[in-house]
Amino acid sequence: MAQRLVQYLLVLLVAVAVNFFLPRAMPGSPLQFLAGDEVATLTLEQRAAILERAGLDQPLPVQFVRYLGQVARGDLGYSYQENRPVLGILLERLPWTLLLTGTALLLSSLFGVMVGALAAWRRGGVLDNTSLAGSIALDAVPTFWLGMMLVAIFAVQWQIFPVFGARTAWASYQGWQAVGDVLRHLVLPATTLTIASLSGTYLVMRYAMLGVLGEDYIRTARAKGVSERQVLYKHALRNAMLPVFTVFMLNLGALVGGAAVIETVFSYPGVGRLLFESATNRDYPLLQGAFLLVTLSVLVFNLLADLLYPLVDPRVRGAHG
Amino acid sequence: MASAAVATKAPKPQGWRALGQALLGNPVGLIGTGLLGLMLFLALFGPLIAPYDPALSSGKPFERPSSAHLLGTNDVGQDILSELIVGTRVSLLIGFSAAAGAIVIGTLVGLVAGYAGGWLDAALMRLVDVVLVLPFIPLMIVVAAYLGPSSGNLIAAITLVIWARPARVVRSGVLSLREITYVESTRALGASDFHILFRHILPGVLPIAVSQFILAASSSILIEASLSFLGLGDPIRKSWGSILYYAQIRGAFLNGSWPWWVVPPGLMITLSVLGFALTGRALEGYLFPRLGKG
Amino acid sequence: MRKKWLWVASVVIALAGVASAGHTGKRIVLAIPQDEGELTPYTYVTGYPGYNMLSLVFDTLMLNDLNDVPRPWLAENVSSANGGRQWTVRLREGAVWHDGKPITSADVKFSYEFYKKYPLVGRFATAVRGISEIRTPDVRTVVLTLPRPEANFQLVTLGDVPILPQHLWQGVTDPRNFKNSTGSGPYKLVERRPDQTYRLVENPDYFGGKPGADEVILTIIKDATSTFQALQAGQISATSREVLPELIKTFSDNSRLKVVRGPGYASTLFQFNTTLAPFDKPLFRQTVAGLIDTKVLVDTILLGNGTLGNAGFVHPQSPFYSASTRAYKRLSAAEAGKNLDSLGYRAGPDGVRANAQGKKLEFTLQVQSNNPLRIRAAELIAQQVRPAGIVFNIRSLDATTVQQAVWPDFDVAKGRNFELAMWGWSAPVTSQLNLRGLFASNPTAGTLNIGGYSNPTIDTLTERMLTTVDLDQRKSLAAQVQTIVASDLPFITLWYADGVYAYRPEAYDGWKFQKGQGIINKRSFVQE
Repeated sequence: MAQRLVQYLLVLLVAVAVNFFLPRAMPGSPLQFLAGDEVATLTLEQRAAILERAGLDQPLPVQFVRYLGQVARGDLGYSYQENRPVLGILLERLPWTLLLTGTALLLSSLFGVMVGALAAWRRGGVLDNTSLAGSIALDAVPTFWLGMMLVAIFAVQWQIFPVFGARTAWASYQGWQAVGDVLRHLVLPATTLTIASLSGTYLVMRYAMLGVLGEDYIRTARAKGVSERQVLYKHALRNAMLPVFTVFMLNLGALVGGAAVIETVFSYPGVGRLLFESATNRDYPLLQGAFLLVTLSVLVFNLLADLLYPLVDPRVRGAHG
Repeated sequence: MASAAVATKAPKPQGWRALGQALLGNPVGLIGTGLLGLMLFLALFGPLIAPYDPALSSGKPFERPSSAHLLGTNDVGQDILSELIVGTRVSLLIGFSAAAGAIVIGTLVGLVAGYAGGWLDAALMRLVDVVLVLPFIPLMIVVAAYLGPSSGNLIAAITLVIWARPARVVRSGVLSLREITYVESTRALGASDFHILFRHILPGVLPIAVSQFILAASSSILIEASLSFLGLGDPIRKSWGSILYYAQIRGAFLNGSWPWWVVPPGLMITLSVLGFALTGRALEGYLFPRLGKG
Repeated sequence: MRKKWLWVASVVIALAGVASAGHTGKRIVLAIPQDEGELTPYTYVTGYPGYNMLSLVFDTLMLNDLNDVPRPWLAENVSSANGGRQWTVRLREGAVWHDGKPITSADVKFSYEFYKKYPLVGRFATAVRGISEIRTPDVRTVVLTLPRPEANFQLVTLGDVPILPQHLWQGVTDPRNFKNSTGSGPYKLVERRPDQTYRLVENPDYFGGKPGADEVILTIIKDATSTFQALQAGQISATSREVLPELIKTFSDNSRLKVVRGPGYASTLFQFNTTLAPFDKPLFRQTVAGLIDTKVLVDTILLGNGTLGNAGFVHPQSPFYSASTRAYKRLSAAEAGKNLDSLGYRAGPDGVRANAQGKKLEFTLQVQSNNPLRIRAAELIAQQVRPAGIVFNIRSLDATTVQQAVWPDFDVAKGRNFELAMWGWSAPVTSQLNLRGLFASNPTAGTLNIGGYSNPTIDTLTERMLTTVDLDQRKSLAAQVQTIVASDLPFITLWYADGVYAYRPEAYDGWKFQKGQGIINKRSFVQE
């Protein structure tokens, strides 16, 4: 375990370094975003003063050491564009991303497990064949295009759902009205993401279930006359969930950064879209902060999966711990 | 599962008949190769079949579908059907090249890491870990900004992002092959590492590489489309993703032209990815005969 | 479903209207494309629409009218003496800050000196730089002294620099982090949710007329398509974005929307690097200009919603436009060929012209990858010049990368690293008639001269314009500059896109079109 931890720390360090140097390798000065549109009217001294204020006049290594120190203290700096702490911006965006991707992850896991288990249980049946074909087809659909189609049909054509955002920005809804508003905005992007990630869980569940159903103890249970229901729920399902759990934890890690394109299609104010925006705006501190958040979430959930796995899987217990 | 098959023994070639049977003797293979064949045909002969030169304005901007323009015209009066047909080449080329690059790098890294073991293995696998957690959109922007958003750079960037997964899979294949008796006996006979690696182990992991290539090609096509859609591709070059970029940015959803401007490129992407996926499935039966049908 | 929600929403709005009886009952929901920070002169972000939003909260001594001429605003009267070296400003009586304190001449003096002391916002720092002395003979009078006359003093300084409340700002040493939006404008900022909304409510005591609405909600929608979808669906009542050409017809046909249009001053240019051969030859530039059919560009790309570029740069609707400037002389491929022959470029076997040294007429045309209109224009231009044996290879690059190549660090003294580029200047270059910036050869004067153009006559003329306060004299100087530019062609002005705006009149119908600025201007938000 200790070795594993060292590895993760190493990955983190490299990611932080890459994080810092990559955006600075971009051509173009952040001056425009520091000074706004008026950069053309600035005198040279004014420009120098602005760069100095942002610490950009220092040599790169100095900036890097300063950056490491700040990160260690939890200080992610100030966003150039919005002139306020990066951490605050990230914390504002994070709940929306978690709501969107979390909903999609739960729904897709739920449906994936259900359909996958039933398909394997009745292998070769109608459900098995259609769901297998369906999952292959869905995997081939570009996610952003699926989102565009849903917008076109349900928001533009039929006007059932709103076209953008996470809530009606100007309305001061209270209580249930506010909840309803958020939910209505959630439907289309969450549906898109659910559909997009459905087939992963489904396929894993189906294969795992097929594997388990071939095991001796299932055959024994069946031979002993245990009811089909009990075999399904008590024995097969429980054991087949293990690989699904791993996939779930990995997906959990990808939760924060995984929805960048969908968030862009739906103008959803999440962290993924923030990454894209800050990169195009050359907002280094914001880009680094968002990067760090995404990287950290991947590592933390990988670690968590490593830690939880022995607890969940009796066969592994003791072997790796 | 691929590695499980390899673990027991290196697959024996089964000849062309078996390959033909796997690809064409069942509906999955037939549809897959049919779709791929169609796409390859369009990629090769697209400019000859297309009704117009998609680079020239052949009608008024924003024309609705008509007998002259079956899918209407785009924002500068270029024929959308011709754009779709001619765009096949760029989309497939980027998909194929990026996948090929990723497989070459991935296989080499996997081979070396799996065979050498020790610190080299550890170092290479940590590199793989880093790549797997790197958010690739900003990486893409850096590369595009540095070198210009050309097709070549798009390929380079996609390759950089997707080589890590094949590397990992190939490495596990190598690990299981390394301990197999015939490799050990060859070593005992005094064969060089290089010889063992490329004469004995590489052929053993080749099926893995092929199936990983198919996976990589379909994801490259999807990534290319997403990046072009975000405006990170080369907007001068006609690809399915760049058609969607212009459709989105020039109001296809607002002026009602999305049924013929947005739907068809998406379908083309879906069909070509589907072609790869089905062909890949059909090939698996040939490459890993012990797996049986999923 | 949707109708029901709208209905509920409108009832809520109606009730809110009743609650604040005596008001207009109007509420403007305006979409803007990005967060503008705190609405203070030191923290707002964009020139448009950020400055315009700032102007709802803060005031200036003068304010442009709908024809872009500065008129007294917070000032009751403005007069100049001594050939434009001394300006006397008389403030309105009874004007107060949002907190009720009176606005005095001391506030004006304090503000201008503050911008000098903390020159962090270039726009205002530059505007007050030329003032050498500020006196306040009484509470309502300010006397400003300039060592040398400034032609644009009313436009750039009196009509642009926001006045700060001295009693709140006098202790401030870090203005970028001072977050107090108390001003004197027609609206007060009451709530800001970063990256989402601003809520402004009317200032009932406003000196400049009754605010047009009880409430202005600025909602941030980053994506253009989403913005217009929201407008069609009635989720917003107006947007600072101009309607895309392809949507103008759809919107005009929509009975719930009103579409207004007028001249837009933002220009789209084809930029030469005039320091490189063969772009250093006016004849070559004239030949390229003659091959480009700007009418086709405007008809195809803007669907006709634009004004064709004028060879002398100045927009035909500008008061400084000289009608005698000659237009672009269209050339056939054969005529262009003759010009190129005379420059030594002869047709080669592959149809590309080359000179005796083998230098081919094949160039890289840089274009911003985030600007589809310019990309499309570049594609059409490359098609148009090709028959004459000239090849433009279009290279689409990240906008910042193009800027860094064309205008490194926004400083023309740092040179240039491009051959040809698609470019454009925002409206103020035209409305402030910054011909000196565009064409003067000295980098400290010609700060926008990205092509490295140089003509001594132009240098003298633009230098004189700088200090010429008399309008007619300026017009005549501007006409001379336009005549020279129209034949020298340091760049080709392709078009000015019309400003086309759409809004929902049922929500608010008080919008006024200001030339070159559009409907998002302070006067639109006030009943006069």
